[in-house]
Formats: sequence, C-alpha cells, structure tokens
Amino acid sequence: MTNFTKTKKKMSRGTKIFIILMLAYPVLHFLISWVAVNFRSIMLLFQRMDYFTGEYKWVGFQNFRLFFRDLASDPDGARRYINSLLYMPVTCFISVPLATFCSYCLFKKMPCASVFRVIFFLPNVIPVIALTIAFRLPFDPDGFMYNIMRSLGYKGAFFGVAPNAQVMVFIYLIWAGLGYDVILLSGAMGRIPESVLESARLDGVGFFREFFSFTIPLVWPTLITLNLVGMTTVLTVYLQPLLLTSGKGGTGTISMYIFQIAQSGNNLEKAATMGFLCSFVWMPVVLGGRKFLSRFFREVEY
Amino acid sequence: MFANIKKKKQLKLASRKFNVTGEKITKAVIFTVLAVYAVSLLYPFLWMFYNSFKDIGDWRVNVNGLPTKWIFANYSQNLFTYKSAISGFNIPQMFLLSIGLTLAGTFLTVFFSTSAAYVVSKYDFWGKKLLYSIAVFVIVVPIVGTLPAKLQIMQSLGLYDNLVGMLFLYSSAFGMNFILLHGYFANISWSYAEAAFIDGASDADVFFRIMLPMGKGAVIAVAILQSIGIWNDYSTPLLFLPSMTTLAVGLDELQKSAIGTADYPTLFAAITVAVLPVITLFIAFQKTIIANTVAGGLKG
Repeated sequence: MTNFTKTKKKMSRGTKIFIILMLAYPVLHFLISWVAVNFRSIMLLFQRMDYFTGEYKWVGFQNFRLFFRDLASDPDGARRYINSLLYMPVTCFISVPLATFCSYCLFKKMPCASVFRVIFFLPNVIPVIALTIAFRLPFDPDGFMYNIMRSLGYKGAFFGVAPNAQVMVFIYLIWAGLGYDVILLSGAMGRIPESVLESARLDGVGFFREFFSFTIPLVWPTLITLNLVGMTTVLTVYLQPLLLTSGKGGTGTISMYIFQIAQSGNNLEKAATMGFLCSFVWMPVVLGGRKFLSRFFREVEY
Repeated sequence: MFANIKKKKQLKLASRKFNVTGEKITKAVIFTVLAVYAVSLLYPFLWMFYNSFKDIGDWRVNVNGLPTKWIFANYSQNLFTYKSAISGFNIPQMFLLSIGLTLAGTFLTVFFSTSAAYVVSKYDFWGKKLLYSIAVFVIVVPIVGTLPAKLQIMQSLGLYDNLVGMLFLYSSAFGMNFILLHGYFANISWSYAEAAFIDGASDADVFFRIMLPMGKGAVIAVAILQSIGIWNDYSTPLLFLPSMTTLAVGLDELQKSAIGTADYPTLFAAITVAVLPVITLFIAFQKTIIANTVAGGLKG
C-alpha cells in the first residue's frame, strides 16, 4: 500500500507541527500513566514509608525479605496463591473447552444460533456489579436457585464458607465468561473455508470427528489466545470474587490483595513487591505455555 | 457373492441411518443445554425487573412470583430518597455523573486514539514504529501491582479524587482502540489526501474533513465499545474518585445497604436503570459490537 506519499518528500514545517500536535497528548499520557507509573512501582520495591515522617526511604532488599517471610507465615497467603493458580485450570480446562464446543454447535447451523450468540454476549455489556448481584441473589434463602438446589437435595452453603464460595466464584466465571469466548471462537470458525468441511463430510466424517480433527486444528491460534488470557487471569482476577463474596469464604487472590492494599493506602510497597515478584515468576510460565501450545498444530493460512 | 454385497450395503445404510439419528439426538441435547444456559442468563434480570415493582412487604413474602400489586414508587421515589453514605449522591445524581464521565471519557479516548492511530498509520517519521510497538506491548504485557504507584502519581499530580483526574485516566490513546483504528486507517487510500493537498488543503483539513468521515465506521464502533466499558467501570472510580459515586459503585453500596434494610426492590430498580442504557446500545449496535469484539479479541 502506498500510503506514505507525504513521507517520500521532505516534510513541510506545517506537517511536522501537525504530527507533533496530534501525538503530544497521547505520548504525554503514556509517559505519565505507563512509564512514570512503572518507574515509581520499581522504586517502591526498594523503599518503605517512614510512618513518623510520611516519607519514603531506601531500604535495599528489605521488601523482598519481608515478602518471603510473610509468604511462610501468613495462613491466608497460601490460599490466596492457590486460589489464583486454580483460575488457570478452570479457564483452560473447563471454560475454554466448553466454549469451543458451544461455538461448534452454533456453527453447525443449530436452530436459533444467532439468538443464542446475542444472548451469550450479554454479560459482556452488563455492569459486572449488576451481573454478580444477578448471579448471587437467586442463591440467597428463598431465591429460585436456592429452592432448586434444595429440592435436588443439596443442603450446603453457597457463599461465605470455604471452599464452597470459591467453587461458586468459578461457576460464576464460567457462566459469565462463556459468551465472550463463544463470540471469538465463532468468528474464527466462521472463517474456515466451507470447501474444507464440505469435502470432509463427503468422506463420511461425522459431527464429532469434524470437531476434533478439523475444527479444533483450524481455530487453534484463537484457542491459544484464549488459553493465554486464561493463564494471565492468575495475576489479574479480583473483581468477581470481591463483588461476589467481599473476599470472604477464602476467595482471596493475588490481585485482590493488591487492590485492597491500594484501596487502604497503607503498605503500598508490599503490594508493589508482590505484584513484581508474581509477574516475574508467572510471565515466563505464560510465554512457555504459548510455546508449548503452538507445538500441537501448525498454523494454517486460509 | 451378490447377496454378500447387498448385505454389506444394507449394513452401511443402517449404520449411516444410526449415525444420522445419533447426530440428531446429540444436537437436540446440545440445543436443550444451550437453551437452558441462555435462560440462565436472561431470567435473573427478568426476575430482578419484575421484583423492582414490588414493595418490601410483597418482596418478603413473595420472592419469586410476580408482584401482587405493581407499584412504581421504587423508580419515582426510592431512587431519589436513597443517598450514598460516602458521597451523599442519590441514584439520579449517580446516573448523571456516569453519563457525564461516559460521554466525556469516550470522546477523549476516541479522539486521542484516532489522532494517534491516523498519524502513525499515514505519516513516516522517527519513532513511528516504536509507537506502534508500544501500543502492542501495552495490550500484550499485563503489569500487575502498579496500582499503588498509579495512586501515588495521581495524588502527586493533583489528579486524585477529581473529575479531571478521572478523565485523564480514561483518555488513554494506546491500546486496543489504537490497534483497531490503525488497521482501519492503514487501509484507506492516501490518494484522496493527495488530491486534497493539490487543492491546497492542510494536514488538519485532510484529517478532519476527509479521513475522519471515511473512518467513521471504525470510530463509531470503538466509541460504542469504549462507552460501554466506561459506563460499567467499577474499580477506577472506586479507587480514584472516592468522594463521588458513579452508578456502578453506587449499586455496590446499595447492595450492601439492602442486606440490612431488605429493600431489594429499590436495588433492583437501580440495577434496571444501570442496565437499560447498555442493553439499548447493545440491541441497537449488536452487529458492530460483536464484529469489533471478534476483531479486537484475535490478538494472540
């Protein structure tokens, strides 16, 4: 594409000013909200607030030492890390496969497929607070889900006690998150050439064989993306458990802890250290996961 | 021998018939499961909607049924009388604040994303590739634990707990919006601009009068997605605007107070007020929203 005609000649002063004006705010915003924030975050790793003067002082690696000390002694800490890690298998082994199969069913000209797609996408446009209330209240005593579960013989609690509360958070995530994955996967399946599937059908390939041997390999890049997003939730999920359980019932996560510290305004250096170390450990795992998943099927251009 | 072949054919036909029947049963089962899931997504909102027309007495004795008497006081009175314990805002004030933030925040982020995407896609200058890499990097690499530092920077710049600060946070130019708009502008032919330059148009004329109208579709799509995001945003106003309550934050407060007062019908009325604008927007622009979600989601 020959878009850059302006560029081939020497740029006029007016054009230079135009470029500077158009980029000035975006670049300044990036410098403040990303570069400065991350720079300050790194500084916080080596500083602690003096509670008498209110000033931050350099403390070397003390924050790291304190982090590892707390890691060994904090009883809630272990649960926080385990909970966070569990989001990965829940997303990668339950949510994404379920969404893949749902998308395939909708793709196979299921009646009302377009209506289903629109309904499944609804949780993505509704405020998360409204969604969590809509999910939680029916499980309160006398709510319709409470009555249904009681009539099915389930007598346990739903929210507020461990580990049920965490299970409910996982169920919520699958319930509310399925639609987004379905939309992405439906888009990917919609791009598979009809001729490929047509010839497979002529060769007598059935519903399930077509799914496992043709559809999954052809939408593999999208599945990799969804799995990687699932892996990063380990570090990012906090809002759903916070709104569903207020962090009670042993549903704490790494990110929720950082959010709560930021909200309280105390011990900010602890949150920064935790965020840094967790990213430092987990990001190579995510990148390794991408490499591992890419080995299964070769990307096909179509 | 012929009898054998005939038998084999019959067996093959029978097995195909069995497969077709099996497939039909499988599809029927899957259809039922999908229908149940769709109902599970819709029914809680329908349940909250009709319960928003009950008074507390009716709600207490009749949680799941339709209202014995349909009342509108939750919308006409209770939403006005409820006040946030922190900001003192009532629901209509929260609604207005959310509307203001959504409109201004959407305008700013879309304007700056559009201007940055246009310049980076259409002009050749030093740092152009770096800016594009930054936009991709910001999306791909999640930085966890920067919230405390962000809070400190906002406080030190005097942007904490005021509307200017909130609009600053919402006015980011790089990220997914930038990538979508960059792709769109890159595909618009530069020959329109060349013709305009020959006629004496300036760079700003070309951008505002030619390129922006041509990229209207992508800009509108980004604006819709962005406005839904800002309208629904809970954590940014909670952390960075504690003295003012947006509707999303107010719903959480109202929910907590409803546990004590049992005034769930008012909570349901507030949820209806919060959900209605986004549902309307979604119904009106569902194809655009879904298409751009697919385009934006395939970043891996």
